[in-house]
Amino acid sequence: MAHAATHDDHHEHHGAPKNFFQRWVMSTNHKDIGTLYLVFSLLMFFIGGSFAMVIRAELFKPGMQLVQPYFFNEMTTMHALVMIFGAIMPAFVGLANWMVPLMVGAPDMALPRMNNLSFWILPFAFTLMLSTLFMPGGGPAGGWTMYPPLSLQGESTAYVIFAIHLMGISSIMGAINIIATILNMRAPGMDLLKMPVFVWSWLITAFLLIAVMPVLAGAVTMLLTDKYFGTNFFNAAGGGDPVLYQHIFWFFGHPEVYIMILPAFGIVSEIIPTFARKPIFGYRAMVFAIASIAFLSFIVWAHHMFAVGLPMGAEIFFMYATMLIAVPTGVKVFNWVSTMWGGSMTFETPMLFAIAFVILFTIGGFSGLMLALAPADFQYHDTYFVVAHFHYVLVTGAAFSIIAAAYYWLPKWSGHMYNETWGKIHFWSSVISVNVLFFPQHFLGLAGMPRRIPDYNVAFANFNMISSIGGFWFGASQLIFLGVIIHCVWFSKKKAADRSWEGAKGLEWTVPSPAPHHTFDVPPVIHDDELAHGHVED
Amino acid sequence: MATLKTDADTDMTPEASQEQWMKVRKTRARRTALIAGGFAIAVFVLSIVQMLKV
Repeated sequence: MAHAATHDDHHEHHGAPKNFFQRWVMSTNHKDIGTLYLVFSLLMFFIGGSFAMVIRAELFKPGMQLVQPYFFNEMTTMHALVMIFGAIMPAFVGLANWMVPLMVGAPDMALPRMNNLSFWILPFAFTLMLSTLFMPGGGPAGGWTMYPPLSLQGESTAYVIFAIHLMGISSIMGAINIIATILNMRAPGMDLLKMPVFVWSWLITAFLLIAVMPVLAGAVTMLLTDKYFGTNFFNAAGGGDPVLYQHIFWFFGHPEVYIMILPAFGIVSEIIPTFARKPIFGYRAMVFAIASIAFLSFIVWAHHMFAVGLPMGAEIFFMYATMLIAVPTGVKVFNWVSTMWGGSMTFETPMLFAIAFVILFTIGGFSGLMLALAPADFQYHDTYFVVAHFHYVLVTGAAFSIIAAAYYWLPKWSGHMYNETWGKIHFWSSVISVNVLFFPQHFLGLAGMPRRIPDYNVAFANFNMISSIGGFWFGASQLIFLGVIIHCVWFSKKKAADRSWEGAKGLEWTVPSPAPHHTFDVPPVIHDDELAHGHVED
Repeated sequence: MATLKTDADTDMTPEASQEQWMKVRKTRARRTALIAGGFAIAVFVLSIVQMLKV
């Protein structure tokens, strides 16, 4: 494989364009577009995070302090929309753009111009959506789920629905590109069951995306026609059914949860073997577990709707189907622990975030199991217990995996090592504060505090104050992350080796650091002992 | 579906063979993208059309 890296050096004469506009706006290079996605998602992470700070500031103590109730509702809605569609999903697409071609030995994504379009739709979509906050009548305030009739009462419906259509088109084009790349652009010898787990996780995620994003587009289109064209899909007065919207939305919404966590599984499955210096335990089981979770995600949507009055048979089916997801998820957690077991472990920042992911995501999984119990859900539904659950899954799960990935691959992207001391300070500050932020919310929920309210009973005051302190602390901790990245990219003097981590395996570590503008113009030769999961028996 | 010939089969230089390999891959990738895109559009249309019957 070394010859592939050497060959790239010969192609430096057609490196990155010098012109800023040509390089970043007109780019068809997977690495540059990956960088654009990652920078965009980091920006959205801080915008969405600032909305969360408003929420936690208002909830710092009982009573109305800082904002009007409608603005509070706008903040909860926008926080979710920005974090889900603007931060988490684009970050994973950015990681896929950067790493999938490098991992499968492809020179670029299969459809580079569509790749450019996929990214550049996003800034327009989010500008459109965020601009509604400054319009007369305000932005969306009916929650990210946009349940009718509440979501149809605002003035910004058309803007938000158009923005969601744009985000959906971007996601679908990105997914199509990833599928086309993985299925067609792999280097000779890179069989499907030799692909890194991260590539597998993205292949399955991409199929989920093209299956469910059009369903969301259909649902919001029907909302649009209900509001502006006189249809009655969800209008009870006209013979429609608002619960129908919930079914359609969650048919998209539950697989969406897995769209935000399957790539995280892939990232952690790359990082743990590197720092345990062992191949991943049970490679095939890991791949089949991801596929199983993806399949099950299509038949569990109504567990979000236990409280709407489903027939008993449906409640029982969706309860057991949901609990079944614990089986493949348990396989994955078991395999990550088994990979570490007996390994020669070191605890650099990516590994710390990966271990925190395994532990804290599992806590989020357990509270998910509690919510899956239909009778218990009648008490937990729409309380802070749900908020605690999905933040453990999405913050200590998805966001931690993205941060881990950034630390892990930053040397390959930038050619420099980040500051390990500040990386560890960022980790410990984040992992403590995130638990101070979200763990008390379990108790608040169990005590009956409803979600999406700007004021609450004084009985909930203490835990809310602790949670808010954790929130400000966690938010401030992420400024350390920003500082570490800026320092690494522009100021670090410590050059990264091609194989930046001692135990790292896989094609991406055979190219120079920073990765040249063009890689694998000549497909690499695949050796099994160079793959992260070692030799896989046929 | 186009098949990839080896250098020995075609009397081509390795570079020419490489270009052909990439061309075949790109053609297949476009076909995959069209199928996936068609599927996504079908899901979108069906998600609305089937609601008209409810």
